[in-house]
Amino acid sequence: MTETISVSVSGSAFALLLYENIKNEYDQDGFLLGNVISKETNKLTDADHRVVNTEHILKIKSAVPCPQQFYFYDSSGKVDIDKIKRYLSSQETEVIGWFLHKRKRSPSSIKLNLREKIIHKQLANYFCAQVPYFSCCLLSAECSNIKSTYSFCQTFVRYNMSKYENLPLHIINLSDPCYTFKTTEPASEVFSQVIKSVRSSGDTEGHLVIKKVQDTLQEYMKKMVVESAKKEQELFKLEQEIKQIRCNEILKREYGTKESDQSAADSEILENGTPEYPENESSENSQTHVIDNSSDNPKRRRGRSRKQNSVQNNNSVSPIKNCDTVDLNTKENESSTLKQNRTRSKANISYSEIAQKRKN
Amino acid sequence: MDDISLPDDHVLLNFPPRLRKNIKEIWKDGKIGISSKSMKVHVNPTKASDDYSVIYKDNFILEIPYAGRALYWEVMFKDEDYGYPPDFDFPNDSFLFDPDIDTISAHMPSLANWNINNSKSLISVIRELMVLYKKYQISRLQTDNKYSALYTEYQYLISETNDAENIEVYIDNGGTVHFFICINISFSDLPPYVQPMLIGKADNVLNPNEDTATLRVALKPDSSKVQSDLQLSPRLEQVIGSASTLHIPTFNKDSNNLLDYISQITTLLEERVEQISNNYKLKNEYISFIISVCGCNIIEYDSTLFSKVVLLCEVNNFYTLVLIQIGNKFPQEKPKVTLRSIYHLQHDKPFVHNLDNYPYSPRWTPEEMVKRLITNLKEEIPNFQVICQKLAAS
Repeated sequence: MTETISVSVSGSAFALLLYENIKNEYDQDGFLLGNVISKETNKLTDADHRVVNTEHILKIKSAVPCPQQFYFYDSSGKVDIDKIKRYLSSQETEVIGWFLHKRKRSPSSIKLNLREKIIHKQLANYFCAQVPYFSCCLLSAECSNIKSTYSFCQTFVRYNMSKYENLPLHIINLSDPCYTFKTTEPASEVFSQVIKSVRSSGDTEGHLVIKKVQDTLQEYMKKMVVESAKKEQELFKLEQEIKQIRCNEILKREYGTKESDQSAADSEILENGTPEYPENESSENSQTHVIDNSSDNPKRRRGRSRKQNSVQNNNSVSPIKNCDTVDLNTKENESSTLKQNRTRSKANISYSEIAQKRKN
Repeated sequence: MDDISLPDDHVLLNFPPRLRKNIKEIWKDGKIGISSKSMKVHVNPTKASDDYSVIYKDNFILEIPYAGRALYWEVMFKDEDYGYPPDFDFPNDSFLFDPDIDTISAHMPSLANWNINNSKSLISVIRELMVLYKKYQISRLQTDNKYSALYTEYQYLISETNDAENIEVYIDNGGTVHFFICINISFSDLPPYVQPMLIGKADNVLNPNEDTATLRVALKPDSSKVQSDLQLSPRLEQVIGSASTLHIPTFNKDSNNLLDYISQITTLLEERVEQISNNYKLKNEYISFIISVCGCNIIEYDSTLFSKVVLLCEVNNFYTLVLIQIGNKFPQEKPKVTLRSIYHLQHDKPFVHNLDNYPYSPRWTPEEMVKRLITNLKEEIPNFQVICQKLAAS
């Protein structure tokens, strides 16, 4: 009786996760959504023994990043469950893990630090009802000197009997050769609905039906893409506003006390230095994005150059330092709901499912 | 790897401005534990970035002396906001490998209530971690059965002296248990530290640091091999002599226990320190008396260690130099008095005559000694004059 646990993630879900990581200027943490699939295989050996192999697969469908560090935990590592509930709302039941993206760490040596271990334990305890194999994905990304090669490193760890063990990861590749019997996984509701609408037209020829399925699915995808593009734009706008409000708060805080402490204000402004990902990063990211967000690029670039200018002359908007203020919460709620809608629409239908159906 | 133990201003520029005060405290207040060494910060040299932007070091490794070796702990700050509390990592160590959920909230209040504006925050967190580390080592001693004898000894030691602060325990990979014990004696009466002159090198004034004497005992639970040695700080080593000259008894596991051994060593050191301070005090008195009595005759005297005085004495218009040297075994040993002629040469050097028979007794007070010496000199100098004239004539 063997039991194995592994993680599988589709290409597009993984791409979404990496995109979110790169887009953020700093370290990031967040939650992984998906479900657990358990497969049991009964084998009968030559000596008439029954061998049961259970395979648990954590299938990751999407990722929800948290807006900032220390969002749902405090400095002693205590996790605020209510905040997580409010942030994830309906998607809380789909959580199967969390991720940590660490920049500036060499990919071979990422591991959980003291506070992160404490957080992991608490999250695993809380979510153990829905997923007994709660795991943490550690990610890091590195780019070469001339920015020609980007390497991404990821490991999944699980806390089991006072040790942190690694889980094997499988990224679903459409051209993976499959030598065993293929077991299908249950399809999502949206997919089933689309298929139902095709079946009702009553064609019997195999290849025509498949073609119809493909066309319907593609049209559905296009509709979703347009909708989520709109939501993405709103999301970006809100994020910019949040950043602007934060900068204003910082300036108010510093220049409000300018008369009392000139030197502190000067040191704060020069504090974080210029952002490390240079300007062309943002344009690269938006190119990899499926939707054409060209209208957003100048806005983002403008935001970045404003930051860089301010480091040189201390008069204008100063670069980043996040601070919690009460009136930001409403903005954050709006942006989080938009994020959820986007992930839902993107992740429920994926090209891999279409291709699987095609093969079958 | 650049290890920085002295805070130069340009070193602090490596770190983000908001953290600089906290990091400076590590150098200012860096003494942690028993050892006289202080904490160091290791910083990897930064590569220049392509766009010449400033890259600050927000991850660094702290080297902390403990039980005669160094612990390397990594401190990581988040660059999103340097006001956020740092995270820690302990590479190559199973310390806090599996922390309890309440580790930070219960045992590290400075981290749970982190305040970046308090410059002592980081150093307080490090001290709290040290307390946890000590507890961890002792719990290792307690839980593993093969160390049970040593653990009971340790318990006995703690209960008798109530002094857990001065003992550091470390169990290394080979299973040897190291006890690092601080010997608490007052060293304030000892003579001051004199930096030996390095010929040919620039005279940097080196800091001999605080005076500490630590005893290290390394025991392996099953074998009877025991290593013990006494480590002294530079000033003590210069003054008392190194550990080998002191002839410290070795620790015999079967015959005596740790507490007795420590008290043995402590009494030995105390006696030696008292002897030396006494000697120093008497020398001081002796020289002071000479100065008060023959103040006008003094050419030079050693004002730090009081080991030498040179006088110019005149009897019947005959001047001679009197050189008085006081050795380490004063008052048992008589100070060496030499008379040196300023008129006569012998073998191209001034004529020198040792005065061996002047009245002296170790039981006299320094005042008495000086008085007797001066009266004796009044007689000896005319004799010396005669000797010199005889030499000149021949």
